[in-house]
Amino acid sequence: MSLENQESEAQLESEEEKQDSQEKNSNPVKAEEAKLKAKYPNLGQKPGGSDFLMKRLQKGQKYFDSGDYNMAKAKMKNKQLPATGPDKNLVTGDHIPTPQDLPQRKSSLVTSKLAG
Amino acid sequence: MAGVGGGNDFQWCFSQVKGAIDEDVAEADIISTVEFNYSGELLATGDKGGRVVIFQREQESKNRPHSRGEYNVYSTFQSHEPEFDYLKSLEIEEKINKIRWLPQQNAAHFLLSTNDKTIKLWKISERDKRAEGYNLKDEDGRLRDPFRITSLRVPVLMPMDLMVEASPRRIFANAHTYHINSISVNSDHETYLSADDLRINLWHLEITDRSFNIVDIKPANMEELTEVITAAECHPHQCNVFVYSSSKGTIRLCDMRAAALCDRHTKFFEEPEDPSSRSFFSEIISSISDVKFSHSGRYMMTRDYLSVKVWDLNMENRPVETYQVHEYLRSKLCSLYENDCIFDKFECCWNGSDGAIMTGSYNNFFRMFDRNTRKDVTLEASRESSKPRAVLKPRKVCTGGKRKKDEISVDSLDFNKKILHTAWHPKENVIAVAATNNLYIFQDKIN
Repeated sequence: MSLENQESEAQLESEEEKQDSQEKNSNPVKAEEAKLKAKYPNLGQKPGGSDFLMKRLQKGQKYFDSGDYNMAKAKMKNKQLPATGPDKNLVTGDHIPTPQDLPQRKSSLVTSKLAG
Repeated sequence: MAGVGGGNDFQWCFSQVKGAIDEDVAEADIISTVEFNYSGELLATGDKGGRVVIFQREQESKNRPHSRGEYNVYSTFQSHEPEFDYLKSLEIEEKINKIRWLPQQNAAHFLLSTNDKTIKLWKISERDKRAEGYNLKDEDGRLRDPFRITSLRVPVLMPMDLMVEASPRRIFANAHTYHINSISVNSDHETYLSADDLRINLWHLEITDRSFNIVDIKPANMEELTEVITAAECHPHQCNVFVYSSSKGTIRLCDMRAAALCDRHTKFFEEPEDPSSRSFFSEIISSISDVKFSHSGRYMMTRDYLSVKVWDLNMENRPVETYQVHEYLRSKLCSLYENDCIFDKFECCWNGSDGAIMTGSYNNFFRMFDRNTRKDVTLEASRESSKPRAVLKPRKVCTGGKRKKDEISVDSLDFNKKILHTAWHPKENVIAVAATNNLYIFQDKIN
């Protein structure tokens, strides 16, 4: 390549860089969006849409199948079934929940500290 | 230094702080709602543990003319308990989402408190007299043998130590499939509305086994769900009008005279979006977390993630005023999405004259905007500035490179210290600010 071409290429590149940084300055939100997409490439075809709404509607859902539980208890004499991992709050079908695993649903019988 | 809320030379001072000082905050102690009653004499708080604490302002005494009445504990009770819906495998939190007072009609006070599924009407009454000298029972309550009674006496009312009792008078249950986000008492003082993610119901305060569904935005196919109801409120004077806001940043005003089911709005408020600024975050940050009518009923205010907007009910195509709460967060949206802070629901409130508005932010900061002077101020609720009558010093967040001495940089903000709930006394310059598990009360400086 001739010297002239190299110089013009270098010029083009630095111009693009300038444009990029200008865009970032003028639109920080676009920069943030780019960051997010880089981290999570599969994230939402529907921006902020259905997935997040469905999650909101399903808040509080806990799954416990008493049938599975009792069947497993009966079989447990022979086999050691996988016990719960460190995250005791997630009770899914993978392991058999025991009463100790389920988070306690006690009401606060203690008076509020605001009234103290 | 000119402040906000009452003209020149206006300054906010620390008055009181309630709650524990310990670093380890129990989840149950997190305050989830704050509300003054109509006179401002009572201040109610609800927490994640399902408890309600009511404070009462003490009468101004001649001995201490410089302190406006302080708020002291009046009553506290367990409003809601945790429940489990076995049929739907759904855990129901006891967290109090909202408290709304009823206008006072007799000596007792009434309030509505709600968690995700059930609304309760509580009566708070005082007892300062006790009857003594019954005919049929002893002083300690044991029944007397009626055949041994030979004379008749009239029981006498004797004074006793003041006892404040809270009793649940109505329980409004089983009307919401989704999570209740708002309740609002109607100006007719007979009905109120409750709103969940997809539906709004109208209740009569006397009737618990029936409610009318007035808005239903549930699509036939849940896959088509694009927006949810985020807040709803009754108009302060027109008992036929209410508004509800959505996760898409729109507000619909409905007139209950138009139809039994208000699926078709009477007015639709939406600010046109600049298409060039559209991003993944646009819809999330436009979601309205709170809507409040002004006391006059002429305006309404909405809070979205970054701003507060005032709308004139007569103009649907854009707000009349927009106030930036923490614009510097725009360059932090990625991490705020990752730590879920972008979904935080901030509330907002008007002062009694509708001349000023207030809303919370992070780092225990809260913001006030004076609509007349267009001045705004950032203040902090912290134990450091909690000496009695200490004037609150305005705070500033620095966004650029050079940080001035008293400024705090965006990266140093504590996003776990969120002020989501604030309340302004209906008549005076007294505000209540909930900072996680602590309740701060600030007053204007008496010059």
